Amino acid sequence: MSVEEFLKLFGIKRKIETQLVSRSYFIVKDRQFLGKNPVYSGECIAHIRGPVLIPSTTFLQQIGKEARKHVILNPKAEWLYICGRDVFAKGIASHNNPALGDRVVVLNQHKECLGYGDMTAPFTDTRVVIKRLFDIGDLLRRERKTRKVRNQS
Amino acid sequence: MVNAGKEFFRKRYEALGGQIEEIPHITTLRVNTLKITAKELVERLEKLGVKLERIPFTKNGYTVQSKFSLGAITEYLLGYYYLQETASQLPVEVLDPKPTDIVLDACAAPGGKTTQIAAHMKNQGTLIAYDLKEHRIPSLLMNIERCGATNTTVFQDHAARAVKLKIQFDKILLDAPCAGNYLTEAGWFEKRTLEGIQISSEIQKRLLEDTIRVLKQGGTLVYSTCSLEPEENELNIQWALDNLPVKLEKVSLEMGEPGLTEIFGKKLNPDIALCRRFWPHKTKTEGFFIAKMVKQ
Repeated sequence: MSVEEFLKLFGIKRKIETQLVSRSYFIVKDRQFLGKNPVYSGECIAHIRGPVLIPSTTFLQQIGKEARKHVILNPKAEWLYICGRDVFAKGIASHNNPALGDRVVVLNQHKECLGYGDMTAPFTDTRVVIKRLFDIGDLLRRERKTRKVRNQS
Repeated sequence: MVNAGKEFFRKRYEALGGQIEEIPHITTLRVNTLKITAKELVERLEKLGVKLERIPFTKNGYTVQSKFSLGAITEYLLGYYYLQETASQLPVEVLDPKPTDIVLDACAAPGGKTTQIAAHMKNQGTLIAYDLKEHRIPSLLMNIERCGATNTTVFQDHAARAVKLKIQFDKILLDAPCAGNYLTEAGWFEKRTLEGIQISSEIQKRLLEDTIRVLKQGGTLVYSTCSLEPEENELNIQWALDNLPVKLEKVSLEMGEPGLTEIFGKKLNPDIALCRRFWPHKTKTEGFFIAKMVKQ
């Protein structure tokens, strides 16, 4: 998946000049180092994870500002969400009328983007309404997983 | 084993004018000014019930008291702050990197000082970070990404390889891998030996030699460790003065004490007093050592 295809999922049409460095996309500021095999260079945009992309923390904030559809969580649901949980209707403080099946960004009360998911049920439902696909807590879980694998090896 | 254990280190520190004192752990953070102002962050955290107090001799440091972990909340994940020990915030302040500088962070993981350098540089200039150990790279990259440093290029390699970049750096931070100190690790006294410290000292000398090679003439290198052992600090600096084209500059900090100029009866270059040594029982921080050198 390209960065442009990823952005389209949120209704964003934008072209970004990126460079693949060690399984992550970057906006590289200083191209002179690319031939020396860096593992990170410039502004990180997204990481390749299997068939999908995982946005960087900074890029996620840009997506949060530009995405077509959003929900805003209350503080309790925010905490649960960044721990990797799905969203129930009672945790949503406001939204801009996403439809079933829409890809929505999940914001907190400061309008900071916490992640995104798919709308799976109407807001009147007691079931999960936003199925979590990615949240910012992934950063810590990613690091802990690496540490665990290291300790086991 | 003779050269190890709490009693061995207690006698050793007393001979150097220090002592062993367990000080209570204080959580401290550094505001990441690439993403938020100190005022904004303090307001947000105070609303969550966190008590913050400015650390006067740091630029963006605060002590924090919180009933919950500050290492997993939204503000942390968005990179608004870095949990960083007080003394550990000081080497970068001594280095004082500017937005126009080309800077090398020679032993960068886990990235506290790397992201601090990027913040000082306002994400401008060029920051090159090296770390050799593969297992330390994920946390380095995670922290650079989280804190939004965009002027940084990272290599998983020995800092000696920086010579291949064909760059002469304006400033270098060599926060060298070291034995640590008794506040950094439970059971520290039982895990360290004088022999291990001497091995570590040799590695540090090689790192000094390698990094001075890529420092431009008139450029600044800040050498720091979180060790209290003279072999990793003053004696290494003496070695650098004897073998490398450097001179010392004063580490202008109100905190800490002058570097030792007499170690176990051996007199060192008096300029070593321009360095700064942090005894935990006096500074109430981790043990630390900072030297500032200029290439001649």
